[in-house]
Amino acid sequence: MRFLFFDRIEQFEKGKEAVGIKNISGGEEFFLNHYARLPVFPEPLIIEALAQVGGWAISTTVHYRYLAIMVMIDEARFFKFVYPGDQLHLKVEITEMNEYGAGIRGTALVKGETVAHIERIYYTLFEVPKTHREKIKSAYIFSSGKFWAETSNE
Amino acid sequence: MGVKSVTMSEDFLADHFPGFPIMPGVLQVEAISQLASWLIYVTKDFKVRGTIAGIEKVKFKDPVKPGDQLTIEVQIISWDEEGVYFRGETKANGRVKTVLDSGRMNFIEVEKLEDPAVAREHFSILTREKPRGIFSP
Repeated sequence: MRFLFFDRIEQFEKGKEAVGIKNISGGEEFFLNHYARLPVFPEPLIIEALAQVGGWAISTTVHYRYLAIMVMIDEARFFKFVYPGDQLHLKVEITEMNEYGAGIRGTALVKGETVAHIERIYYTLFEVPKTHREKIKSAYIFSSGKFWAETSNE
Repeated sequence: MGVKSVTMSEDFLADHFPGFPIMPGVLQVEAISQLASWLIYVTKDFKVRGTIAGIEKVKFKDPVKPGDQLTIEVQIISWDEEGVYFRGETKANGRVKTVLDSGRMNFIEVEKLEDPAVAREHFSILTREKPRGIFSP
């Protein structure tokens, strides 16, 4: 299982907010066991998807000098199951940010309806060694879907 | 109590993070929840499992790295008609890695999720019921 839980960043405002999307495909391997008769997107992966969009927004804001690593989750609520074929909209708001850490609030929606809400995710900021910055930067640009925006058209 | 071994060959370590392999915290949340779900399953005579409805305060105290063997502990705090509240933690090398203060799981009938016979079989594999039966009857 690859561990990338957003397919594209749709909206981004430095230091403030980001919206990502994640398409749920029936081909993802965890659906074999989760569950055999009822394929449900695992709830912790919704947390991860929101946390990844948040981490992407934070690292991009600081020009990939830091990786955001999750240290706390608080008040996560899940209202509906998410099934293959759904498209998750991952809305993330950066609530605080300083040199040591950052915090976000996130909401996941399917067809405009809230399926999950997390009041607080906190991250610690881990300084990326200079030797790894380019690798992280290219991975983050690749995962944002900007790769296509930059190569098509112009 | 359950055990999960973290190995470098798990493919999520390639993305999380590129060059810095750490077991994703949410997978520890999932591990604790799965164990809680199995505990519900046994307690309720193999008829229901649990699905996650809420998670309150999880702290990731220390990163889990390839080669660590995680011990997972879970306790059910309270039972009601529709579900349970549970808490749990993971440890490795004598250190606490993750603490989940309180989570909510709702009951769901096993047959809605999977073939009950398969679930029962899976349970006996996880608890090593089978080998004990075969090798020391």
